[in-house]
Amino acid sequence: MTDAISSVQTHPGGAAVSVEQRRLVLLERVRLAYGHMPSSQLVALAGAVVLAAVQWSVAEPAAVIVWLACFCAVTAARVGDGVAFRRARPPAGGVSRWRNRFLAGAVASGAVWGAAAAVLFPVQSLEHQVFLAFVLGGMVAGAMTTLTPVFPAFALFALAVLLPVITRFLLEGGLIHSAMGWMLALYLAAMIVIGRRIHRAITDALNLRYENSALIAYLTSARDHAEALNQELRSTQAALQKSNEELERRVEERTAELSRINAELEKFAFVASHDLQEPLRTVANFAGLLEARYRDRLDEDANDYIAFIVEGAAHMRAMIDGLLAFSRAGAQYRAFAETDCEAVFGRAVEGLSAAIHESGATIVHDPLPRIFADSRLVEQVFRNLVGNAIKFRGREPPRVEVNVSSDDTHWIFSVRDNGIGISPRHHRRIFEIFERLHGADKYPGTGIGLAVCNKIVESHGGKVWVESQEGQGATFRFTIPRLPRRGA
Amino acid sequence: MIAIEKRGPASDTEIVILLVEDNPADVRMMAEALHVAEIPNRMFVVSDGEEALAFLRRENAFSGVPRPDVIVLDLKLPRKSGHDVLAAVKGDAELCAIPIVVLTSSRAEKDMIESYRLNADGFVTKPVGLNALVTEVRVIQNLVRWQATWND
Repeated sequence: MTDAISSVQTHPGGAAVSVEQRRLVLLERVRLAYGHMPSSQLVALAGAVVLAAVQWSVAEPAAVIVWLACFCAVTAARVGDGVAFRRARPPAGGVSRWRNRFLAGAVASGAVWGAAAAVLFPVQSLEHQVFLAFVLGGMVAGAMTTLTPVFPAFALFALAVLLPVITRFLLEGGLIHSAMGWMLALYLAAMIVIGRRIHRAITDALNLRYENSALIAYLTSARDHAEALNQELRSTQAALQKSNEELERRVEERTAELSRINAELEKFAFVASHDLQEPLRTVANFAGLLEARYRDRLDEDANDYIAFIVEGAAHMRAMIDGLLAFSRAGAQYRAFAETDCEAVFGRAVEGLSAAIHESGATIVHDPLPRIFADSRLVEQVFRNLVGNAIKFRGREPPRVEVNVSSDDTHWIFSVRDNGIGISPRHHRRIFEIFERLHGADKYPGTGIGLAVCNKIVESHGGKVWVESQEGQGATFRFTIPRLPRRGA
Repeated sequence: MIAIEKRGPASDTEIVILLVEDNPADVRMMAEALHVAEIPNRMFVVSDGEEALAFLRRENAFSGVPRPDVIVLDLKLPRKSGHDVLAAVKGDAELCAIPIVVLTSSRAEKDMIESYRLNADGFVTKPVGLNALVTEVRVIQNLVRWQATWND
C-alpha cells in the first residue's frame, strides 16, 4: 500500500500510474471482460446458428456443419475458461495469464467468424453475402461492449472477423461488392477507433476509481494514525496532568510541613528565651544585691567572683533578649502594612539618642519612602544598622548616611558609615547569629544584631549585604520588595 | 499561707500588702525593695490564685486577716491564673475597691491589655536590679495614698 501512497497521481491522463495500480486496473478489466460470459457467448452462438441456418441453402452443408461445430467448440472452451476464471479468483499479481487466455479465446472466436467468409460466402447470392456481412458487422458491434476492456482482444477480434469478408467482397469486383467491401473496411476502422476510445474511457474510469480508493485508503489510514497520535497525546496529557497534580500536592504538603516546623522552631525559640529570662532575672537581682551590700564586707577575690557573676548574668540576659528578638523577626510574627519609613527611621534614631549624643554622631538621610512591610521589624533593622554604625566608629565622630533608591521590583536602602570597616573575608560571617569580630571589652554586643537584620529582611523577601574594606567605613545595603512576597 | 510581716515603725501610714507570688526569689526582692524604700508595711504572701481569693474572703484558715490596702499580683500562678484572680476581685462588690497592681515578668503587650481590660489599677513589668524595683514600689505607694484620698 505504501507504493500506492507514494506515487498516487490524480489526473486521469493515465501518464504515470504506479505498477500496483496498473495491475489492479488490469484485474478489473479482465474481470469485466470475463463478466459478460456466458451470456455473450450464448448470444454469439445463437447468431452463429441463425447464420448457419440461413446460409445452409447456399453453402456446402458439410462445411457449414464443420464450421458450426468449430464454433461450438470454441464457444464451449471460452465458457469453460470463464468458469475457470471465476473459480480461480486470481489476485492482481497473477492476472496477466488470464488476460492472455481471454485474448487467445477472443482471437479464436474471431478467427472462426472470419472463416465464415471463406465457408459461408455464397458466390451467387448477394442477399446471403449481405446477410453474412450484416451478421459479422453485428458481432463486431456486439464485441465492442464485451471485448473493449481488453483492447487487443477487441482489435484482433474485429480484424479477424472482418478482414476476410472485406477481402472477398473486394475480390468479387463490381460496384455493389466494392461498395460493400469499402463500407465494411470503413466500418472496421471506425469500430477500432471507437473501441479504442471506449477502452480508454473504461481504463480512465477504473484508474480514477482506484486512485480515489487509494486516496481514500490513504486518508483513512492517515486519519487513523492521527487519531492514534491524538489518543496518545491525550493520555500523555492526562498522565502529565496527574503527575503535575501529584507534584503540586507534594509541594503543598512539603510547604505545609516546613511551615509547621518553622513555626514550631520559632515558638520554641520564643518560649525558651522567654522562660529563660525569669531565673536569669533572679540571678542578676541577687548578684546585684550581693555586690551592693557586701562589697565592703568581703575580700578582693569574693568581689571579683561577684563581679564576674553579675557580668555573666548581664551578658546572658543580652543574648536571650537578642534570641527573643531573633525569633520574633521570623515569619510567624510578621504583620505587613503600609509603613512610613520616615516615621520608622525617626523612632529608631530616637531609641539611639543616648549613643548619638555620647558619640557626637551626625545622621543624614534621604527622604524615605512609604513601603509595604512590618514597621516594627523595619524599625529594628534601622536601629541595628545605625546603632552599629555609631558603635563601630573610628577616631572621628561617626557620620551615618542613609540613602534609598529603587528599581522595578525593590526598594534599596543603604546605611553608610565612616567607622572601622570590615574586611571582605568576614562579609558573610557577620550576618550569622552570635558571630562577633571583636572582643566584648572593645565593642560591646552579642552578635545578634546583624543576624536579626538578615532574618527580618529575608522574611520580607529581600536581601542584606555589606560593602566594606577594613579601615574604610562600611556600607550596609538591604532590599525590600515593592510588592509583598506571595506565600511564606 | 506564708506571711512575711516586716514591721516598720508603727504608724497609721503602714500599708497592708497582699503579695500574690509563687517565686520565693521575687518575694524576697519585694521585701528588700520595701525595706530600702522605707515604706512601713505589713506584707502577706500567698502563692496561688485560690489562696489569694480565700485570703480576701477571709475563708477557712484566713479568718481574721486584715483587708489589704493593695494587692500586688503576679500573672503566672498555679491553679488559678492572675487574670482570673483579677477578674474575680474586680467583679466582687466588696473587694473591687482594693487597688490591684499587676507585677509580672511578661513583656507581652497582650497581657497588659488584658489586665487593664479587667480593670487593673496598674501594670508593672518586673525589672532587673533592686533600684529599679524600689522605683516601682514607690509608685505603688503613691497609688495606695491616692486611692486612700479618693476613698475619703
